[in-house]
Amino acid sequence: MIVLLMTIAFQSQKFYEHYEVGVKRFQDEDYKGAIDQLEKAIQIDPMSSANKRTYGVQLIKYFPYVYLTEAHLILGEDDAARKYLALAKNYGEDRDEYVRIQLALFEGYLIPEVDTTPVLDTRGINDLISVGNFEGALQLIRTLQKDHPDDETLATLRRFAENALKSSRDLAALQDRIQQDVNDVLSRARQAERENDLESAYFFYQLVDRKLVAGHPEARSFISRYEARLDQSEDKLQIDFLESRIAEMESDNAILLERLEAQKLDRQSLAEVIDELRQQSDQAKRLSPQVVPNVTIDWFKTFTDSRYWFNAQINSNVTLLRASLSVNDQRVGEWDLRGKKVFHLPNLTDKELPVKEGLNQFNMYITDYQSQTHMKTFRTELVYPKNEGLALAIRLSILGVSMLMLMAYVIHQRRLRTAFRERFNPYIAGAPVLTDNMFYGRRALLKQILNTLHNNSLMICGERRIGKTSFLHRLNAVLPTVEDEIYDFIPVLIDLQGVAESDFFAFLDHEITGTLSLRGFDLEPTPDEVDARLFAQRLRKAINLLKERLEKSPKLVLLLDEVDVMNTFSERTNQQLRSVFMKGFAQHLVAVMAGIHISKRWKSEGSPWYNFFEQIQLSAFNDSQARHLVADPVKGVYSFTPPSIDMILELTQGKPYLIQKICVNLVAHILNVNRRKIREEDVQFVYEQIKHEFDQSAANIEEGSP
Amino acid sequence: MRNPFIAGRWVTGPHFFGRRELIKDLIHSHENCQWVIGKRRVGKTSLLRQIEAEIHREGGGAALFWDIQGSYDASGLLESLHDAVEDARDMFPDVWEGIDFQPNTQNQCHQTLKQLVRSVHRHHESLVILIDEAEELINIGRNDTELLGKLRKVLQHTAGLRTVLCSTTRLEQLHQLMSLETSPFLHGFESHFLGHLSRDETLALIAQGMTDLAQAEEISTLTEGNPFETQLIAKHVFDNSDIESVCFEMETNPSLIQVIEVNFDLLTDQERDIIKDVFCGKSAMSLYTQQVEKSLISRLEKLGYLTVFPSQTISVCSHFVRKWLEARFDHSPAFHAKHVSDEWLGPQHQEAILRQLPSLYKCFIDWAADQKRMVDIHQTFRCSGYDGTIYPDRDTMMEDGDFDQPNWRVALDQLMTLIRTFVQTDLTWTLHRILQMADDTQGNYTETDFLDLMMLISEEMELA
Repeated sequence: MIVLLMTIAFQSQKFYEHYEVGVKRFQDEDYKGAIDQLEKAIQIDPMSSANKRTYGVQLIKYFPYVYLTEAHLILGEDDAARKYLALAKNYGEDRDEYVRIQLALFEGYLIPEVDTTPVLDTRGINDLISVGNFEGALQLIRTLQKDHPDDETLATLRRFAENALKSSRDLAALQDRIQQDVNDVLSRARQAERENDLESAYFFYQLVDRKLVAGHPEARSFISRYEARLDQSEDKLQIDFLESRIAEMESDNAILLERLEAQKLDRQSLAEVIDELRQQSDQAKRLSPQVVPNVTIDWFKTFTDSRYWFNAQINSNVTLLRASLSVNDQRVGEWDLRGKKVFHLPNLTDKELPVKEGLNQFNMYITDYQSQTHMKTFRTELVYPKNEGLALAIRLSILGVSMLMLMAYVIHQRRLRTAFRERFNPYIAGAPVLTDNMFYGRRALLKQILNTLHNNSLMICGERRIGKTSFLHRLNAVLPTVEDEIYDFIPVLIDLQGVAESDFFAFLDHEITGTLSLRGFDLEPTPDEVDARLFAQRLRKAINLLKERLEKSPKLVLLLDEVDVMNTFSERTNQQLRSVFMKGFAQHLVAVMAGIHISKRWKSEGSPWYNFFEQIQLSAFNDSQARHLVADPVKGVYSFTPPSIDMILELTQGKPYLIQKICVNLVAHILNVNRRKIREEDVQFVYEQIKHEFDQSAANIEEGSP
Repeated sequence: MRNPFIAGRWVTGPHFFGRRELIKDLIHSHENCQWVIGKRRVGKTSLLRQIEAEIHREGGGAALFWDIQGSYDASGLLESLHDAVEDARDMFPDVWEGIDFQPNTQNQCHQTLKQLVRSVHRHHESLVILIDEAEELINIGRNDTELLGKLRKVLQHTAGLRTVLCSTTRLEQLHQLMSLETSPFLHGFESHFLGHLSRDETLALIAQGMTDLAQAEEISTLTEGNPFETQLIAKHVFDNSDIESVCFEMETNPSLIQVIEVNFDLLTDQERDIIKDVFCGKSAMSLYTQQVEKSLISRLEKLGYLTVFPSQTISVCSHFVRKWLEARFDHSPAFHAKHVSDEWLGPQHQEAILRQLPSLYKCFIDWAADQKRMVDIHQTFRCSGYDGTIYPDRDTMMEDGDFDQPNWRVALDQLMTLIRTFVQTDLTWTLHRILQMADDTQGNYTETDFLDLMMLISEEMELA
């Protein structure tokens, strides 16, 4: 189709025999046949000309080299394409405007030759080590050692991986032992609590908190409630009774205490193991070749519809942060490149850029994750055709379309190669998903929530790693862009993990003030101490400021993550928070909270704090959502066989974290074996290696269940 | 169109529906002190906010919405009063900004209230104080008994000051139960019940986001005018017009179940028993002969727990509450209502016992999980004279145990105790099998064997 369009554009006339047949074969997409004929043509007459005499007084355009360049390019024969491109220029084919644009484009696609000398690539090993997959790393090292038996780096890495594997197994065993103790003491504490023997329960919960897991939420919750009760009663007799009961318990449980004391040594060795792992990991990093950032940019320029179009692709071997563009010393745009190594600049036209006829200078400032900025300059001359007629415009349009299509094809091919070379792996396991392109499975829920959020506060509940935090992050990203006739949504994302009750309102205030100041709303800094009343006063002021400054009605959306911490707060603090939502300014306030579960043990006479939130259960993905998460992120780069997807779905039960975890490891695995297709046996192989993650997930459900 | 339904925060203005008569009464009443009693999520805060807005719109007076939740003690109460004034100034600047009220933090709450009334009177005829979450007075009364007396004096005897107080039935019950100085506090308050919306009011609420009348009627029938349920269901139906699937989803909706549970917990044992009886089928008014029962039914109707039809039949209000009750009954026989007239369990109930073996088994399993066992079968279970249900008496005697057997065997042992007194009948084989399983110390049987047997017994009883 491209060729057909180009042929129309050039309105081909009859040619010299080989040339004519060559062009015809090119049109029929028989590129090999076209090359054969065109090469015969240039053997007879190598001189290109825009007015080549054939027979009689017949003149034709004779540009064989540009056809040869394109044909070789399509066949992926870059070296030959490069040779003919140089010849096309030597024979002056680029004096023709159209051919010049074509050649410039081809030049952009032809990347410099790659040194194909086989080198030892240890990046796969480092990838596996960085995700804690020591077994996989060891296996890969053994494979590589077959080809490089004397390589010192591999030998050192092997020693490290063996040590790390042993340490990680020791670590798991130690953690198991400690977990058994925690379960044992907790069950004693729970039983005592059930039997209303609060002093014994206090003793056991103290053991959990002080000797096993500092800050254990359940233990802390009981201890603070119990101590609050003691403080409230100030009954000397009760305190004496507690002390005598604890002394009694200590003697009754002497064996347990002795065991925990002995475990102390284990915990010390646990600390040593962790320390050792850290040192070994640092050592591995030192062994890894230092990555020297190499950032390149390819510019593409086309002229169609009477205007110049600019497009560029940034390629980097390190992760990038942002890029900004200046044209003729005027800043024209900035792009967020966080986490990307390859970036396609959106199409820009000369209408939006401060360009002029003649020479122009484009400076792209690209900042990588080490905050190193790379400046890339692109100089280009713009020539606007004078008195161009309608026919020329049509031709140019057709040519432009052809070029864009060709460009899209070439870019796609190139992206595939680059992705593979750069070990493209888009899955995210562990960290919350922050980007839209990796946000899967919750779009319907997101839409539903956006449609009701202006009037309703919500509580999102779900087991650990089911995607609650990612969901809040998505809301945080989407809300400012919602085009609503009435409201301007201002989200404030607040992570409550580890927040002490005494700092609760100060913390909320600090986060709100910080977020608003980033949006240009300057408020007085948060005082050191903020109680519920001061918080309400300051929030009222903040909302009034928003009302003054925004055209639409403001809607402050508090996105509160890890609200389970509130289960350990007193009911009074919870009631005070509820009371904030009952105030007049609460018309401009909604909240979306996320946590594993809300404690329903409510003893106060007033309304439970949670009863104005609608609870939404965030569950695992359904079949279709899970399939999209597996296959879509790598579409066009890697592929999955249908049975492999079925197997992933069955193993992960649709849990997004486990899907991401298994996929991130699957991609790492197939890259190591130099394949692009993921098969059932790969899934089985990776599953065996990360099985502990699945067991942990099952344990989380157990732990998180109310 | 954006989803207009609000199932969380308070509503006012165009989002507020119904209650016209009550609002008129509360605004124009000659009584100084009024008390609105309603269950949770029925719209008490919205009612007060609507009164506040209407008083300010009509002019001539000022209203102050005072949420006292979380106040806890005298100083907290004072802080919440200051906060309420700030909130009012912010929301109704036209009325409140001219009022020169500078709170003195050294004053006590009742003195500040007097000072506020004086300041308001310089500009307006009257002040209406709208106290929300009045249950907090219980906490305050616990911490400072004198304060409540002083507060009551100011609220009831200050010229130009009227009070509307909102709470659940909890406030009433607690002040009756507690030997605090709170009891006189509510004397002199005229009480009103805040129940469900009428059918027309419910339809008007739904019409703000739905044009399909049949659908609106269906929602109204399901919720019977419960404002929270109506808003919640309508909100979901707005996004998914398949009302059947929404209804199914709502039956297990944690927010809805939570509210139903909290409301059920607000009731006294006697009130709960009435609801359980009505649910079990004692649904004709004529079956309730005692005056106390009749008055409880009337009160539960006003609060929106029961519906009494013109035909004098009674039903539990709202489809979702009925579904919740169904689940609770299925889960535990202990949920059944207690009647002193119900017989203690004896050999005459053996057929009923066999029919209800699975639920009795569940009951024993629950106890075993809590390391409890019954002390005496004759002082543990009753058999309902009305529907034949066997249920543990509320004051069941139990003893602690330290079982070295799995819970199912403990429960089986308990069942065996229950049926050992049976006389020999056609069911001998069944009884024999249960006894055999219970006596087996060799571990030849598993829980699955036992459950299979019970299933078989249940089926046989159904056939019989």
